[in-house]
Amino acid sequence: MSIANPVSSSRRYTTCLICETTNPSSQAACSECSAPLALAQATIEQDREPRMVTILGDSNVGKTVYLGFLLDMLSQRANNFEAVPKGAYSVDLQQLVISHMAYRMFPPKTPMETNQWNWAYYEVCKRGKTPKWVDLVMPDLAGEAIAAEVASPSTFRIIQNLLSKSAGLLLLVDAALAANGSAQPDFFALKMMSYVDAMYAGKRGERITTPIGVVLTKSDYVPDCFNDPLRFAEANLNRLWNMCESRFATVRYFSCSVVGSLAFATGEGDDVVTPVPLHTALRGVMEPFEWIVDQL
Amino acid sequence: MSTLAAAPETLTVDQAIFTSIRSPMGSGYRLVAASTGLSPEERRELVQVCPSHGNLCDSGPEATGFASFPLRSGRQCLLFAEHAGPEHSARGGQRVHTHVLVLETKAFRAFGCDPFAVLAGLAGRVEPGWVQSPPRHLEALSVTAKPAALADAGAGPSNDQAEIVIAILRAVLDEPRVLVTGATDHRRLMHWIIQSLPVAVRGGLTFAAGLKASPARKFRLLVASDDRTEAARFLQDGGVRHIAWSQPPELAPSPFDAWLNFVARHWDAGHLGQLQALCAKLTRDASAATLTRVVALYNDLERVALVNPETLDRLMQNHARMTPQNELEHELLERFRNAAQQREPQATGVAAEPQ
Repeated sequence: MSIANPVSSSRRYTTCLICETTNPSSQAACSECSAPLALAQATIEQDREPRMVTILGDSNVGKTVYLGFLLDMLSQRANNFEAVPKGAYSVDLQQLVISHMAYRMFPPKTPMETNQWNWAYYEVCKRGKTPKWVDLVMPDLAGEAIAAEVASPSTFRIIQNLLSKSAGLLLLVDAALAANGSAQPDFFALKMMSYVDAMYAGKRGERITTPIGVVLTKSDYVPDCFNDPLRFAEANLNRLWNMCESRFATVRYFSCSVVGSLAFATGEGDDVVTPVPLHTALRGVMEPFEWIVDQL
Repeated sequence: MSTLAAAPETLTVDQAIFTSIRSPMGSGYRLVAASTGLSPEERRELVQVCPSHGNLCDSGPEATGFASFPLRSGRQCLLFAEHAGPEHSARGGQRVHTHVLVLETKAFRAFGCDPFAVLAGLAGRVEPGWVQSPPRHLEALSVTAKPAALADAGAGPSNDQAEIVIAILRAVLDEPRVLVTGATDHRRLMHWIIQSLPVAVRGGLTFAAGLKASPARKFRLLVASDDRTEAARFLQDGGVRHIAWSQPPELAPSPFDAWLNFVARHWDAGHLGQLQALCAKLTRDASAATLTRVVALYNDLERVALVNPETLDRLMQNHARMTPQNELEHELLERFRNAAQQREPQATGVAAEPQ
């Protein structure tokens, strides 16, 4: 097989890994959902089913930053993980995040247009007595697209397809907002979990077993969150906590922070105040991922 | 020529605003206001199609974009997007504010299937302040339909521009999908294209100008920037004719050549009003054969006063055998016959004199 066309010449069509639409192999992205066809082509090469871990969360909760730093840490063999990106496109997201943070800027907002999302496909292995290789597909979704899908299912079918194929979910929730008394994070998380519950359509009394990591982002605002994320969630995200207790069997709460110190800048005559990450101090980024991989 | 025989009727236009603002109910891009006439399915489709962060081709604060296409419900949707200051989460980039108009097909046809005529009809009804402070509630608008006034035809393309605009028109008529890159004034370009297409063609033309390509915006015509990444996104599906504004393509013969030459002549002569009036009357059939016949009839009508008696006689014989296929051909044929009959005694008199 040539590098330019990993699919053999007898394979003129490729079935999208996400929505199962048949596409000409010469296309870079699925014509239906815009997922890279390289995902399916790489799967054929590996001859093993990839595991999808989907990162969910409201707009501005930190999905892009979290996933970018996670992938970068994996690339640098953090916590005894070995991770190999499958295709150059898999590195785009971490490059975007690291480059922006190096210039003390948060990365730009992820657009709702599906053809502008970043996808990461990594071969991951935790070194130990019995190393096990897992292929992970982790898309960086737009928070507004997730919110629109939750509000009106089938608005973004790709999200439905992703969730139905996900082996694990990471739900990111803004701990800083929640600690500040805002109910918005709790309501969004409740809606999200209700959507997931409806999607998996478990019987009454049976709890859904898909592992779900609830990641409390921006915990640098609420240092106590690191001591006991479960108690923090129970106190400040009670609706979410109750939903998870009732309907999901495998849930774990984590605290996470990436910013070491934050400044706020504004231009003369500007109304907009821009947060400036002065330096990064990663904390709690790997733990949710490690837990999810252990559950797979 | 008159444009509308019937009295103008009052039509209803639903509207919505899609943008990113903070409110007690949430933040981020969503439909922040919509009139009650929009169905849940239409609202869902608007969320899929409206441009979100960074999806105007131009990143500058004055960037605009617009689109015209039918919703799955059958109603016509017009989007008008612009940048509206820094995005509220302060992660860089401009907030995109999109005003959406949705109207019945019948209403759109009453405006001559011309999005600019719809916008002109609503002039003064849309508050400029909505861009900075979108309202929470919107009412449907009542508007009196009229196609774009002949006096508003404006100036046509210059001689330098005419070649490339004709190439674009040819591609729109011949090809399933067209991408135009590098045009600086996409609004003016679309105005020329719309004004030069028969209404029957305009009604089926889906287009976007100034908006980046996306799976939900797979329109027949996309007018975008020079950005190669963007062009690649639109071209990846195949079957797309790409025209770069700075490089007019070589023109292959087209079954629409008669019509395109007719358009170019009217631009050159500054007769945009006449062109517009003729387009307004081609409301049903605009096939290449029909347009060729209409152009031939129109040209012959113009020639009646100029040709010699023998040529006039030949033209009259040709058209005596002609059966008009539509109302416009019938009208042109009647006008030709009347003009020819008025001219004929003069022509006979001139020929008889030397004897």
